[in-house]
Amino acid sequence: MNKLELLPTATTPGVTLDPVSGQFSFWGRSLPDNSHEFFKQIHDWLAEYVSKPAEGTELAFRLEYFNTSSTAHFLKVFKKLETASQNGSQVQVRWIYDPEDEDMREAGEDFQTLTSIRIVLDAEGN
Amino acid sequence: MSSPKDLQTFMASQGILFSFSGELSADIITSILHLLDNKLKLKGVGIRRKKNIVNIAIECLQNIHYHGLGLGEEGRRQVNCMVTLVRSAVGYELWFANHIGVEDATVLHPRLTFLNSLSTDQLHEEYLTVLNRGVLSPKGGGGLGLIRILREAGQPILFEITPTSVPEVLDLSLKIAIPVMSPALAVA
Repeated sequence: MNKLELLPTATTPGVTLDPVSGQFSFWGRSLPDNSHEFFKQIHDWLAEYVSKPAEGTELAFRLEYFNTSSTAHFLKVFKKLETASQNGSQVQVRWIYDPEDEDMREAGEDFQTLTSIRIVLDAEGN
Repeated sequence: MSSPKDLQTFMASQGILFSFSGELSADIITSILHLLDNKLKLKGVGIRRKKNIVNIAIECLQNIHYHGLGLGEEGRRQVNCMVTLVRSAVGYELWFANHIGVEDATVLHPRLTFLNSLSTDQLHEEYLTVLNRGVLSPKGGGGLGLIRILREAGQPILFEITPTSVPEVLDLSLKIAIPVMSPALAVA
């Protein structure tokens, strides 16, 4: 399975999904005009990964802005990682936010409420 | 008003910091968001309020782009809108105006009225419920946009739907206040 790497644009996040190390990251802005089209490649990649995941999977989220349709796709990503966890991978999400950005922290807390995977809220610099 | 200077003076007197009127496209939305973000940064607006304002602009502009009524010629879907950022006595206001169809208005009016009636906690609960339902429309929306706008603003959206000279076309105006301090402090 190949590593998936997407460079960030003004409206889509940078994405790295490494199947060997289990190190994943999303960064930048997620405001795609067509969220289905953008996230399809990520959901497809993850669908394959979670059937035979790395021993540990760590996903780092460091986003500046995202729209609500991206939020729904992030939740789908987290739900997929629940399957990776069921298949033996130690899964952890690091939700990195600016300490002054309470909304971003609350968004991370919302995901904690809605998923069973471990989401660590990381106030950047603290 | 007869000169650019008059316009500049008028905009300053009305607290208008930014205004755009014209056809929306994905690229124009990106540019507007970039300008708003930079404008607020230069004004020294704190991260939280800056992001509240930009997040509201994201949801409103993308909603208008996807759901606004396109009135282009010969089948071309051309969605026009006006967006304005105003400095108010207690913070900032975002104003939006666009056309919508009658069918959309019959859905939007009760939905906005309902969401406006919810408390902060109820809005949060509604947000989690809709998000967890996981149903996305073909355009990528899932009914979360309006909830997010209300949560970011922290108060009801003032809206008006009015008829135009064309029976199937309505004008939609939104006024969204984003206080930077409590109104009581501002009055004092």
